[in-house]
Amino acid sequence: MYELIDAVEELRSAFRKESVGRLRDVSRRCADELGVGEEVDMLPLSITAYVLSKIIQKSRYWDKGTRTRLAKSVGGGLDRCAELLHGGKHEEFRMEIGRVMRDTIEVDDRKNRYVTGLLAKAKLKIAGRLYAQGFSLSRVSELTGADKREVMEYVGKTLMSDLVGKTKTVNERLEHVRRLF
Amino acid sequence: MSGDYSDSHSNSVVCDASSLISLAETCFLPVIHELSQGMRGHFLISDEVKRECIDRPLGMRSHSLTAVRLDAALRNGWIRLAGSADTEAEAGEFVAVANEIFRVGRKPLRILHRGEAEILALAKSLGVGNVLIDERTTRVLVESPAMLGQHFREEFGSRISVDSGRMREFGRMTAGMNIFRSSELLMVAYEKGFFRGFEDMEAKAAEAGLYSIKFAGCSISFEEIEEFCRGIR
Repeated sequence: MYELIDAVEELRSAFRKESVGRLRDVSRRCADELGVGEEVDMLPLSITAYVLSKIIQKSRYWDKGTRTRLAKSVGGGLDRCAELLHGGKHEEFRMEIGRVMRDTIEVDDRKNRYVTGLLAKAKLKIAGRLYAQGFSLSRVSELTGADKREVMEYVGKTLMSDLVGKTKTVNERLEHVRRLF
Repeated sequence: MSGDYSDSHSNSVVCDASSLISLAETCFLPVIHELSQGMRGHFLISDEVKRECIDRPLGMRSHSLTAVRLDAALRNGWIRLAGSADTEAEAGEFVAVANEIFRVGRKPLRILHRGEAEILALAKSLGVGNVLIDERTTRVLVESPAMLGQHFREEFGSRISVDSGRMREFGRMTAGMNIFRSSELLMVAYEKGFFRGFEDMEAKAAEAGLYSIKFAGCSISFEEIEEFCRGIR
């Protein structure tokens, strides 16, 4: 089981090291715990890790001002999250991680060129992962807050249904459907 | 507008939101109209599916066109509202049983949402054996829970355990249900001449339609599309 405190510590470390790979790994592990463990606090952690992994790859992150600002707000915020969890202050942790997530997303939104921002994309990515694992469409929409229609469009363009789900041949399925009409 | 559709024919089809969304997004709702001409029964939706497909997205800029199309289909009688006093209780049963079949360690894997459970419950309470659903998990859970179990083992490793009793119970609850997707509606529509207007591109149009419905989220594989299209080329 992936504990919240472990997730926060690994996220903090991955961000300090500016490691895209490790941030993605944290995002994935948090998403898995969201689905299996139904640990809802994993969602903002997963989103934050994913968004940071994207931001770090962008040239504007490496502007001195942006990098310093993020290090202070996000880095400092994650430090506080760890302290709060160690102190058993769960409610305060929730508020703090929510603030960290918003600060992270705001960095991207400052120069927002797209209708769908990184927050929506992060939720879709997490929802897609959970759907691939075998959670139902409505369930992943409920867990992540991602819109069901958008999850369908997203997963429709993957190979999920090609890897798992062929339970009958086309003709077996059609035999019955033909009789209906 | 909730209907107590007490005269539902056993050849009716209970529709999940996922299929209606796929059909509406790809402009294939007229397939429902065409096929309903020759069926004994109707395409049925629950109040919750109406809320999910029509009422809520009417206020969403990115999805309001789909909602408008589905609203028109409802007004024109292509799809009809249906309900039963037993659906809510039945849906609770479906959720309770389905979400106890698989465990990761000691934690039950809650894979099915009440939304999908209500579709199964509505079908059962109306005595309708046909369920139209594009999303993958519910379909595989009904048709081959062992396949789903195997998939979970690949995803979560040896921590997965299966409650065979619950699996059998779910099988009893869904016995006699025939699940199909919007892709099968398109295939049958092709066989009935829906794509004839494309003349020498008729088969190509059907093939393109199947791909578009897959990309809209219908859980059909490329292999299945190819299998069908080989027979029509």
